[in-house]
Amino acid sequence: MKIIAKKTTLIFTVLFFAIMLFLTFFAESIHISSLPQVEAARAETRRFSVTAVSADGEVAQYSSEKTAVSEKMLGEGIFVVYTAEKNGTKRSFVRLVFPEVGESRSDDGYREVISGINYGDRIIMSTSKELYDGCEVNVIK
Amino acid sequence: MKKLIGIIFAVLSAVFLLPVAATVFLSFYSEGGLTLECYNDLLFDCFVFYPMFWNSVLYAAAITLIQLPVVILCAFGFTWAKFKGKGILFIFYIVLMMMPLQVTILPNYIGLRDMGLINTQWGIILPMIFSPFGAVVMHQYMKGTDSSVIEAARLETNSVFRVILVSVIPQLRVCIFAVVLFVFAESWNMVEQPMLFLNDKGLKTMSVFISESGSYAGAVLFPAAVIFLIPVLLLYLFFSDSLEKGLTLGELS
Repeated sequence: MKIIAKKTTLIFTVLFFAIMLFLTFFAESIHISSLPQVEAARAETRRFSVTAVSADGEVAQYSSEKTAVSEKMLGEGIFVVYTAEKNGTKRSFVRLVFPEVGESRSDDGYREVISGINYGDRIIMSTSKELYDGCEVNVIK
Repeated sequence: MKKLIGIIFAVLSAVFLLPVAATVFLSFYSEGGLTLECYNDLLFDCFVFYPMFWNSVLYAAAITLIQLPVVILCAFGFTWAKFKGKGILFIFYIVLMMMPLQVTILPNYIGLRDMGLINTQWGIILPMIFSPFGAVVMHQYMKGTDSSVIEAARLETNSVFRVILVSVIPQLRVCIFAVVLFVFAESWNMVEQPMLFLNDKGLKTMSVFISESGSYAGAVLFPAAVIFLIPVLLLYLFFSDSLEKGLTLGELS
């Protein structure tokens, strides 16, 4: 009986340390594979015409490059990627934003972003799973 | 009467086991009921846990393995060697053993700082190797060993190490297992030393992880505590017989 108990303990010990060793090397990969796999791209820019009025009442019109989003994307909100530290490691998360857009509209259906998305922000183009605000993601592209 | 004593001991055991049972239960408990979510949070979302786990294993194993020959030699010296001041030195050992960790930790820190060992693995291992507890227990047990076997070995060889290896260690087997268990458990559970002597997170231990578990996302405390229990429990299951014998014989001697 004692020998069986010792053998069981030995098997359990080997199993325990083997599992811990396996998880040490592969836990991160398993975690990453369980995350939504997303493709992100920098927020696009378009040239929009701007009308400026000087102090003496002179009206000038010129074009300026601004961050822009497709009108199609505006309805359900846009997920913006950001990095933050979680449990000692740097990871990517998404933030759901509903950007404030201006009246200007480009020929290809893009609207000028006034606030909510900054120049250089990466926005989600496609995802393997449904996203939500604050969701951790794995950016594959 | 026997029944009553049995009931009292059963109740006492239940009281002692309650925190362990609660820890195990809470490690499977989440707001929605029983779940493995807490383990998922720890094992698949908190990767700093693994280096800390292996650090604990490394420190506890190294301390136990290095301390063992030190305490055997030390106990052998106290038991069989004849030199002036042996009794006083042994009293110092006992006093040192009685001292709380908080008293000795500052001199240890100063010594390690002067040797440039702060924030190194040796800063944790080295002070623990010379812990007096093992030497005192081993000495008490060694007093009860058969001296004729040692005398016979002395006739065969001049080497002290060979005498210890051939005649002392076989008689100390039970005590060695008990000391291994105690030393491993003590090293495994240490919190203050890694907190004070180590700055680098990559060198810290699992006990530090548990004490800082509030700073990690997810319910990682209870599953970490359960995993923390397992190695010492396994070691106890291996050496439980020897531990009981060691303690009983130690008392008798």
